[in-house]
Parts: sequence; structure tokens; C-alpha cells
Amino acid sequence: MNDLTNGELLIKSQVADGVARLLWTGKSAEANPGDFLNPYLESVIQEASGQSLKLELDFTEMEYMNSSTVPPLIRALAAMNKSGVGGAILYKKSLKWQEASFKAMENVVRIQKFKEIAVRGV
Amino acid sequence: MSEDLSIQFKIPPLWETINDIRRKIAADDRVKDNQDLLNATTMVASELLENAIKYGHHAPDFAAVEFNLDLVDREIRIQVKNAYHGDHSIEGLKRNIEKIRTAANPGDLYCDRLIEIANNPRQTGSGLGLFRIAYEGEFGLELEQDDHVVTVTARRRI
Repeated sequence: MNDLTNGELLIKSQVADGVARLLWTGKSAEANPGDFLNPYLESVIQEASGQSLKLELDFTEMEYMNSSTVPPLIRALAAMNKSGVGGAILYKKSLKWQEASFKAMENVVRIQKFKEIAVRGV
Repeated sequence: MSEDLSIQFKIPPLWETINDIRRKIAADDRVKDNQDLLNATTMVASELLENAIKYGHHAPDFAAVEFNLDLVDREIRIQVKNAYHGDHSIEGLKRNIEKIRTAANPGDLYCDRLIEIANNPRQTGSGLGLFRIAYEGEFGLELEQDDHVVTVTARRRI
């Protein structure tokens, strides 16, 4: 599983104990982040599906993301659900911006009935 | 935050300048001690500038995007001004600001938009920026327009 670097964003991948963990750090502030995030997340989900891994997207060290970063994440959640890849999104609940952004995402997961996917504040 | 703060820029419509403005706000002593306010302020400034650069019309007589940030009398005000070409180009902007002004809970607008994206993930543009400003940033929004220049103002009491 590859890492991704683009502008001020770094996503580090790590596979251990049946879980592929993507640690998001820095800032996602590009004009069209879907251009690089969509293909990257698609390949990660395919790989996780092929190896029966759970997928954990960890945003607790993320400093900033613009609103254009959100659709690729929603799209990834839908793709995980469709491929039967379970997992979690982790955010830092002491950061107000993360709490607001990811609480809303938690609603999407619940309303869309995405199975085996949790959105958790830590 | 005892002193007033005022930051003004007239910037070329280039994406890189948004990062410069974000860094400038983040470095200011008068806001950097309040992490939540700083995050909200830089987010609002970034989202408004991104909209102006992505959707603005960079006319020969108004080529730049004007940015103003003022922190006066316990109110933070961020104003972004850019040219537009034809009323149709700002219809969505006006409609979304009106939705925010009349919404009981801007968080519902943000969540509804996320659901739309989940149901139609191939569509382009997030359409989330203004709703995020109101929901996550807790800023109110106003729009003014003249012949060909639109001004969006975001305000929040602190």
C-alpha cells in the first residue's frame, strides 16, 4: 500500500493486524483534490478488499482540509460500503473543526446505512 | 486580543496566494492564541477566496480579488470582493446565502449537501464551502452586488 504526498498533504499507509491504516497529516488545500485523492483511495480500497483488510482513515493529526476534500472522502465511504470493506474514520474531538466536519460525516454513514463503517472521535 | 486587527490584500487570482493569506492570519498574535477561532477564521477566509478564484470573472477593470479581514469591537469580519460575468454566474451563491440566512440550523444544510454528494458522487464541485462557513465556522453571511462586482461578507461575534 502506497503513501501519498501532494502539496502540504501527506498520507502515510501502514498495514498491521488485518488493518490498513492511512494517517493523514498536514493540509489538504488544493483546488481539485479529487484529481489525486479519488484514484488513490480507489486503489487503497481495492487493495484492502483483495486482502480482506479493514481500513482506518486517521485524521487526528490533520491540520486543515478545504471543503473540496470532503467529496472524495464521501465517495471513499460509499466505495468501502459497496466493496464490503469495513473500517473507521478517526478524528480528534478536541478540535472543534474536526468535531463539526466528522460529526456531519457520521450522519451520512448512518443515513446511508453504510455497513461496518464507524466514524469515531478520539 | 486587546488590539484591533486589520489585514487587507488585493491579490491576483492565483491559488497559491490563499496559502499565503492563511499563514499571515495564523501568524498574527491577536488571533493565534485562540485555536478554535483561528481555525474558523482561516477556514472562512480560505473558502471565500477559493470561491472567488474558482468562480469569479477576472475582468480587465477588476482583475484582482480583494480581501479584507477586520477584528474590531469583538466582531471578526471577512470580506471578499471579485468581478462576475452575468447574473447567472452568481445565482447559486445568492441562493445558498439566502438558504443560510433563513435556516434554523445551518448544520442541516451542510448534512443535506453531504447526502446529495453520497447519492451522486460523480458530480463536480463540492457546494459545501458556504454551508461549512455557517455551520462549522459559525459566521453569518451577506452578499452585495453592483454591475459586475460581488462582495461576500462573513461576520462572527467573538
